[in-house]
Amino acid sequence: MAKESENTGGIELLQGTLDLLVLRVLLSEPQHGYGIAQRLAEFSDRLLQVDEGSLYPCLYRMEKKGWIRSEAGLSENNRRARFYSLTGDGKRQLETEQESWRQLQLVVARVLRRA
Amino acid sequence: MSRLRDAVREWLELRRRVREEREFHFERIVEDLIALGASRREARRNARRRLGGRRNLRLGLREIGGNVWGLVRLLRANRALASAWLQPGVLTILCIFILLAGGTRMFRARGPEVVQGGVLFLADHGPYPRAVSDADFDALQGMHTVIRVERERNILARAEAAPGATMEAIHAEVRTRTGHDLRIKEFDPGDNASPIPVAALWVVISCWAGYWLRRAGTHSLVYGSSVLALHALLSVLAWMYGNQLWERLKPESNIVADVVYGALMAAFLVAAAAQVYVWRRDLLRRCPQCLERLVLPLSAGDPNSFVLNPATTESICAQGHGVLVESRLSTRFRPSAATIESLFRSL
Repeated sequence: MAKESENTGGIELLQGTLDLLVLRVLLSEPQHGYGIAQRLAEFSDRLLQVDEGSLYPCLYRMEKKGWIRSEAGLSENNRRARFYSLTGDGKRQLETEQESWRQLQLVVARVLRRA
Repeated sequence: MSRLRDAVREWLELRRRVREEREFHFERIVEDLIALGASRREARRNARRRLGGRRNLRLGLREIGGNVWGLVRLLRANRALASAWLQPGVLTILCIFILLAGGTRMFRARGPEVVQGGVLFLADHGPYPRAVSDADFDALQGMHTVIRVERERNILARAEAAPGATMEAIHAEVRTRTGHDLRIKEFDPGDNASPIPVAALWVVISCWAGYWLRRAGTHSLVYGSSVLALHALLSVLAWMYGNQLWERLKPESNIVADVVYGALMAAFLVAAAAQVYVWRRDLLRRCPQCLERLVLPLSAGDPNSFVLNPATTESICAQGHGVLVESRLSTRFRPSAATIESLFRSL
């Protein structure tokens, strides 16, 4: 799972949320693995630092499921890298996961309010 | 063969990809840290720490199936384990491995004159039958034609022949030192490694296999015989190599050595039986025409009934050559009607 170093007081990602976040990052533009990790850190104000040990298996898994596709290319500093982009299935999956996430938020908030 | 190749290729590709991604990630972290003012050495150290050690890599590989179990899964998914090449391939590799480990010592040629291994001294006189007296044993200790003279079973004497020593020379020296003759029996440490007993065992197995295969088609007969021959070869080589190892590692005590050797013999026989079982089971579950492993086993009938509705299992050939019907009483392959038709047409 994605992890955050203890000294920055970060948070642990819930199981399955990494897929949602990666899909959301890839919606804007194709990225290589390192770029995805950087975007996630940037958008979360450095609270989330995704471990590459979790990121690449996640990317591979999603590619297997057909949500993303990958192709070799050159990075901004002319290094060979694998770029990931969202497929049609991936966009649909992103919508589904976003909806599930909203519902989960509502349910958890409801329980917290009433308990 | 191609299935095995595809599975291994896919697995290697997966591992290569993980390695490349990791390297790229590492280099980018290093560049970022250098841009922030760190030295290259410091940046690399920090990057390594951020990426984690080999354990992280192993975890990642495990998650995407890049470890050994992933390879097994891929082999199963590609049906590589059902390949007709698997058993002969594994047997050939094991034979080569044993040959490389045992070297040429297993097949060394013995000279007609020079004593190659050891000699056993026996007496024809004295208080106990064949016992070498202490006086004779002491006399044997200083011999030049033999070395390392020691007691065998407490009453006999055994020694190793010195390089180049002939039986005549040993006899002559014994006569000179003891004043009389002793019976000297030559033995080779590799004598136990004679393949004859195991070869005889496999000849018997082959006769049984020939009877069992008497109605098999040409493909099954050729394939089955070849694989059985490889099993026999492996068994003979393992026997010879095992005996060679035994000579080096056997316990000092004769009783313990006899017990352990008996246990090893029993284990060898069990292994031979297991080989025959694996061979027969594999051949039985292959289509006699295309040698593909039969698929989709389907059970029917009542396991408690022997007569009215006995339990049977049917497995089909994926190429459509027929169905294997197994029950408690019989096992037979039923060719499909289309195949029979095509056979008649070809006639």
